[in-house]
Amino acid sequence: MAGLGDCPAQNPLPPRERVAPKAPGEGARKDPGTPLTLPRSAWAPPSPGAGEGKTRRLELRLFLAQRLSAMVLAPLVLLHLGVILYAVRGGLSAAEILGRTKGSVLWGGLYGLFVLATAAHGSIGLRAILREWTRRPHLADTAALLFAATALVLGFRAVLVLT
Amino acid sequence: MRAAAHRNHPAWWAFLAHRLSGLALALFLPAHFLVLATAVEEASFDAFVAWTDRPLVKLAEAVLVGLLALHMAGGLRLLALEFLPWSDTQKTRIALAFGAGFAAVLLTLLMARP
Repeated sequence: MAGLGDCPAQNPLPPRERVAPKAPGEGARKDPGTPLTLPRSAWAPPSPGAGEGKTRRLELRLFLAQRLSAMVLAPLVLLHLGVILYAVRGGLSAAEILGRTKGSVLWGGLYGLFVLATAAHGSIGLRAILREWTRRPHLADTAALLFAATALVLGFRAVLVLT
Repeated sequence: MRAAAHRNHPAWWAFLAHRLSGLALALFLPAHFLVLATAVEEASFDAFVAWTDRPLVKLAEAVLVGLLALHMAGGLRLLALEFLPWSDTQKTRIALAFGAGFAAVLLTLLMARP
């Protein structure tokens, strides 16, 4: 498989910034580690047709959206793992789940947010994997959009049914 | 396939586990949503739950929960790697990420015990 062992190629930040990003309030690194000195072609995605600057801006936005959605997802996944462990005791049933979620604005809101973040995170991740493993950026874009649409429609339908 | 030197490191395995678990979760998600929506008719949802009541499916479910925990732990590790100061405990964090995944599998199997 092409690119299976490469560094995360979806990271559009220049290597220098990746090693020491200037985030507000962040202290100096104890040890900057080995700086990544890969050539740009090794980590930057190919630019398909569009202008170089435009493509880089899009990649940077997707990269940040992926991290932001991950930060939203982390506590939700932890909560979801807890709910799973709680719900599977003695087996699942529709009545039990509906009894917990029906008419609950809190569960509806939390799982609605979950669906949004998952659709974004899953589609951006899928796009990155397909770009690396198939080297067909248009296929990756199409599959990602299709995934996002499917996840949003099916996800919100499930949330509406359950709440 | 000859193993390249850069693959002989926990960080490469962490990368691969994160990628494959993410891929598996993404493929599972639409099916999960589809089944959840059948709860609109309680009988059809319960019929599906009854179908899942076999050891292999239970094991697959527990592995899926493990993949979710693994992907979350691996993602937290990535965020820490990218946004927090560099640390010498990266290998420990990788081990913790894998540990979280296995713990979730075992816990789910234990809790789902009839």
